[in-house]
Amino acid sequence: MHFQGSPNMAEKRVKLISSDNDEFEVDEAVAFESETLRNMIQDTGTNVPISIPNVSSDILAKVLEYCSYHAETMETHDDKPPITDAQIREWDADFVDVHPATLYSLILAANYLNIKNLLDLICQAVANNIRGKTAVEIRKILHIQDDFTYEEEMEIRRETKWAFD
Amino acid sequence: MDRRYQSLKLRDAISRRNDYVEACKELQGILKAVYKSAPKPLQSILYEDVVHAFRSLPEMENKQQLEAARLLLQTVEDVFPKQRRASAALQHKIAMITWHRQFKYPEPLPECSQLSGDTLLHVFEYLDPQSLAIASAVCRTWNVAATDNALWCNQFKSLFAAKGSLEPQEVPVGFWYETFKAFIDIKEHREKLFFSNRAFCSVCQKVLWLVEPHWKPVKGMCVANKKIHLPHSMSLSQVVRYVERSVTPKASDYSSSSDSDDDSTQNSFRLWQVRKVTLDADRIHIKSQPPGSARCRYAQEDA
Repeated sequence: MHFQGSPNMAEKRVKLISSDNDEFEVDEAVAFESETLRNMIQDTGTNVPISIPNVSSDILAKVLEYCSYHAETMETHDDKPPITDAQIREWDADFVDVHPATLYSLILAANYLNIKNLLDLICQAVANNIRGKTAVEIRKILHIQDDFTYEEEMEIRRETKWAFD
Repeated sequence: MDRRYQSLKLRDAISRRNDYVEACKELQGILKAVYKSAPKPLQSILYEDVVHAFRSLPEMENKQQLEAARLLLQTVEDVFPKQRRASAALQHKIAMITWHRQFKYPEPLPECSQLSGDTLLHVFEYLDPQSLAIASAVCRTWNVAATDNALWCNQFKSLFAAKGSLEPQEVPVGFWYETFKAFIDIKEHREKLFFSNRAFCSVCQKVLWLVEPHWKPVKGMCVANKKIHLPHSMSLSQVVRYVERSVTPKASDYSSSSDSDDDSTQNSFRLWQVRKVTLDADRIHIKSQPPGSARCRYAQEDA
């Protein structure tokens, strides 16, 4: 299949392979949202599938959903009104309205793929999740082990007393 | 009263998980204070908001939120007439059942690996001082990240350094957390922390929710018309009194008397003279103003 002459098909496609060996094919512009993928593509071209060993399919799908939406917002269409900032914010807010554990995996993926805006968005969402909760609740939600000794715990209580008055 | 209540934007706040508890408490306070004397349209708005609060309950996640809803229900039973009381109670019951069903079979959490220090720092940038202090008590990794020097340097600057009340070079390298704690021990500094998510901006004449991200990067700033204002934190009872308007502005240079429809000015000073902060370094006085006077006064004594 060679349609290189046609302007619509000038867009190159990139193949990505997740940790559980699912294959994703996206437009180059979508992949370019990720700094890491951009570098890889510039090094190796679009012919070789890029494997992303530490991101699972469901998370990669979610990341690519974000990338395609945001790549799309960059484009200007004459026939469609441009997407407003408010619409983008609303979309973003919906995007991060997921389970805390998913957010956690998304952070790791965004970090590895180096997608700055996505990382900012998710970090803020995680912060919103943490805010207003007690330390015990945070540990429970995020499955974190309490690894302080009794003395350390007391010390921290004393130090953070001002925050609880 | 109606308009003032609407301006509190309680309904939106109820939908936000982080503001749910506070919104419920405010609603509760307002119900107690004004429901019986409120005009009919406001009564039905209040009723709808209560129902909305109960309907949003299944989306909530912690005990505090459940408790807030339960307390709200108690108030509802006191103030609502029979029919509304019954249907509100029913909504609460349905919500509780949905909530329990949801948590009876909690979805198994995938074991998530610990975030690295850098990522944690990135997350913590979005937290306020109190949440940051709580985060430092979660585990060792979090403790290291949450006591990071640069983080507290920013927190300090956003709270205290309106115009550098303390120059960076005056703080020994690596001691911002300690400096912050020392500052917060001083009582009037402590008032600068927002213990509630509510604030009153005396410039815009508005009661605000301190919601991210509009408030980024500095929580506690009102950014309107490309200007930054310093709103005052507001307690629950102050919000309730704002709706009641047992508080009216004292004689003020700007006449905003159009909406001061009540007459009791006696106890107004209790609400509006909350704060009288003096930042010694540059002699800026931010005095709390009665709501009518419409602007913070920057008295620059040097000038």
